[in-house]
Amino acid sequence: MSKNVSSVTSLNDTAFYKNQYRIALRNCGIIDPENIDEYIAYDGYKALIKAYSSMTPQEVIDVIKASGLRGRGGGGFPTGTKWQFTKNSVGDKKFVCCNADEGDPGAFMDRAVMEGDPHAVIEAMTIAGYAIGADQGYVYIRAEYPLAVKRLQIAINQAKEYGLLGKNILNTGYNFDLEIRLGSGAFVCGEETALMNSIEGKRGEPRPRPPFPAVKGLFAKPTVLNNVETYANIAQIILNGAEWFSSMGTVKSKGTKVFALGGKIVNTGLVEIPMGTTLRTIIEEIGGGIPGGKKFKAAQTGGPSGGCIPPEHFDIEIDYDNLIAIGSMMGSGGLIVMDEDNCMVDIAKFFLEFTQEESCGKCTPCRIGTQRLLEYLEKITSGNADMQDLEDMESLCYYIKDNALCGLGQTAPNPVLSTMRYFKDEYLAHVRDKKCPAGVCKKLLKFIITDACKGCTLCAKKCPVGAISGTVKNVHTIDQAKCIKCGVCMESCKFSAIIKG
Amino acid sequence: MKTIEEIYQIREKTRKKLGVDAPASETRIVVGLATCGVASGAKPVYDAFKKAIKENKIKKVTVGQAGCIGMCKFEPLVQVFVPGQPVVTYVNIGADAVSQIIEEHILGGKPVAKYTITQE
Amino acid sequence: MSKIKLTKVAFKGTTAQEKALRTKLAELKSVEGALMPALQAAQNIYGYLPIEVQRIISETLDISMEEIFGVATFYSQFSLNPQGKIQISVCLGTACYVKGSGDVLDKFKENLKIDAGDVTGDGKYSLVATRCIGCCGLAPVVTVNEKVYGKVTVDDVANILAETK
Repeated sequence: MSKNVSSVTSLNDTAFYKNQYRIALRNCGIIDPENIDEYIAYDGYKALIKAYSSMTPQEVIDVIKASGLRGRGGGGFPTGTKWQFTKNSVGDKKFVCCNADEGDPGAFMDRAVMEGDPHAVIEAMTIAGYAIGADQGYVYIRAEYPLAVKRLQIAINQAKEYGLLGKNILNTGYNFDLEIRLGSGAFVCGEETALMNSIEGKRGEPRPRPPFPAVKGLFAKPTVLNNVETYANIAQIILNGAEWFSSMGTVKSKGTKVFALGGKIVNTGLVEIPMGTTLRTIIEEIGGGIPGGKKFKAAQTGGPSGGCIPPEHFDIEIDYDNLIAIGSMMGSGGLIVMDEDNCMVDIAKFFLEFTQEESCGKCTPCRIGTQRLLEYLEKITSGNADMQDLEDMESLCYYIKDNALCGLGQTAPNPVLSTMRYFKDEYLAHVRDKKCPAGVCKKLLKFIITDACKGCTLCAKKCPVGAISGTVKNVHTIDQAKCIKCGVCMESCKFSAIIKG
Repeated sequence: MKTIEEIYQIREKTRKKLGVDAPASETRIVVGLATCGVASGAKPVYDAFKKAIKENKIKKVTVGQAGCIGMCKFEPLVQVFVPGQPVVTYVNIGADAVSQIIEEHILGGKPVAKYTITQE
Repeated sequence: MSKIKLTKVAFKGTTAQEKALRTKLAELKSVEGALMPALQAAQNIYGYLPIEVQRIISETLDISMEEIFGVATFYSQFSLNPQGKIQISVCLGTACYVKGSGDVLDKFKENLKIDAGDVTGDGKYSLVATRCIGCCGLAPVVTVNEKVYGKVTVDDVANILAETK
C-alpha cells in the first residue's frame, strides 16, 4: 500500500466534492425533505419574505434578468426574459408551471431536487407567481417518480399549514396555490406546449409556436414554465443578489449546472459545477477517470437531443454556447462517458430508437423521418448500407431538423449528425469495410478461434446453436453461417483462444 | 397560519437543533433516503438505527433522513453529526454495520474506520 | 406505433371499485383538466381501463368517449388490457428459438389456454413472447415476473406453472 493513502472521514474531503459548488443541490442530502422546519433553518422561504416585503414584482424580474440565469431544462432561454414576457402579457388569470417530467435517459437531477429539497421548488414558484401576477401553479411530474411525488405533496401540505401557500400568504395579502399533476409515460410531454396540453387533460401533443406560452399557454392563459433545476436556483439569487450569481460561470452562461455523470466513469453520480468547468476536470478529477485504464472516446451530453464531445474537445469549457458550437447541447444534464469499447454508430442508433418510440406522431417529419433515419442506421449496423445511404441519411437529418414541429423532432437527428461529424471513420468502417471497430454491432461481428485453442471442447458444448465443431485436442472452428454472435463461447473459453474479429 | 415573525422563530429554533451556527445539543444520524438510496438498501439501515437507539435507550441521539447526496456508488450512505466534531460519512453500509457504529462511534466516540471512505 | 389491441376478457368490476371511482370523479368534477387524474385514478382502482370504466368517466365528467380513448391510447402507462398478476415471458431470441423456445411458448399457450400477448380469464397470468434478453448461455429462457428459468424444456412448463400456484 502506498504511503499516500489516507482515510477520509467525510465526503466533503473527497476530490468528487472539492471541485463542486452547490446552489441547486445545496440542501440535498443535508436537510430532511419531509420537515419544513429544516428547510426554513437553512434560509428557506427567506427569499419569498424578502420579495414580498421589500421588492416590487418588476424588481424581482430585474434581479433574475441581471443574474443571467438561463433555463436548465435544455434550451437555455434566459429565465428573467421569460418572466418579463409573461408579466407583460395581458390576462385575467396567469399560471406558473414547473416541468418535472424528467425523461432523458441518464438524467436524474430533478428527481434528486424534489426528493431532497422539495420546498426549494415551491418557494421559487411562489416567487415567480408574485413576479408575473399569477396565483395558481402546477407541477407536472412523471409518474415514474413516486417518492418525489410523495415528498412534494408532503411539502405542499406543510407549506399550506404554515400559510406559505394558499390565500393571504403570511398575512401579506398575496395568494398562490400549487397542484401536482402526474404524467403517464410520454417523453414528449417534456416539451412545453405538450406538457400544457397534458395538464389540460388532452393528448400530450405539442402545439405550434407562436403563440408562445408567455402569451397563450396553459388553458390559453399567459404561463411561465421552468424546469426544476432552474427553480432551485431562484431563492438563492434573490437572497444573495444577481452579482453573486453572475460572478460564477462564463460570459454568457452564469451560475452552476448539475450533471448526472454516468457510463464508463469511476464515480457515477450527481455533480454541480460552475459553468465553464472543463470536461477534463469533470471526467478526470471529479469523475475519477475511466475504469480499467481504457481510453476516453466521447462524452455524450443532452441525451436524445444532444451529441458527442470527442477527445479533441476534452479541454472545452462547458457552457450552453460552447456545446452548441461543437454540435452538442447542454440538455437537461445527462453526461454519459464512453470509452473505446463503445460503437458510436450503435450509440446514435440507441438514441434514435428512443426518439422514434417517443415520437408523438403529430407531425410527419418526426413521425416518418425518425423511422426512416432509424432504418438507415439499422442498415449501416448490419453491413448493408452503401456510401449513397450515408449521404441520404445526412440530408434527411437536416430535413427533419428544419421541418419538425417541436423540440423533440428538431433535435432528434443530433446524435446522428454529431457522431457523423466526429466519428466519420467509424461510419465508413461499417459501410465500406463491413466492420464494427468497437466490436459492438452483432451483425458485423465475427468470433474466431485462434491457435491458442487446446481442443477442450467446452465452447462446442456451450454454444447454444451448435455452430462450433472440432475434435478433442484439435483446434475448433466456428461455422459463421450458424453463429448467432451471442458470445457464450468467448466467455467460457479458459485459454482466451476466442477473439472478436 | 404563521406570521413572518414566527417563521424567523422557527428558523432560529431549528438552526440550534441542527447545530448550524453553534454545536448542537444532540447527535444526529442522517440516512440518505432518496430513490437511489432506498433501492440500494438504505431503508433497513434507517430502521436498524431507529431500533438500536430505542432498544438501547440511548439519549440525545436522533435518527433522520435526507435526500440524495450525489455519490451513487457509495449508497447506502449515512452521515453522523456529533456536536463539536467533524461530520463522519459512512458508505456502502448494511443493517449489519449498525450495531458496531452505535457501540464504537455513538457510545464510544470513535468513528469506525472500516466503513468510511479511503482514497489516495 | 403499435396497433391497438382490445381485450376479450370480460369486465368484472365490483361495486366497491365503482364506488371508489365515483367518489374520485365527484372530487374531480370541479377541477380543470380532470381527465388525466381521472384515468390515473381509474387505472389504480381497476388495474386497467376497460371500456365500461371509460364510459363512467365520460358520463360523469361530460367528456366524449372519443376524447377519452384518444388520451388513454396516447400515454404508455395507460393500459386498455388487464395485466396478469403473474407475467410469463418466453424469449424468442435466436439462441432460445433454435433450442426450442417456440415449443415452450406453445406449451404455455396450451396450458393457460391463451395466446401470446393475452391474459387469462381470471386475470392471473399474462403471457408474452420477448426479444433476446441476453442470457443465451441459458437458452431457452423463461422469466416469471422477475425470476429467470434457464434451459427450459416443454416438460418443465407444468412445473413452472405449479410453482406459481
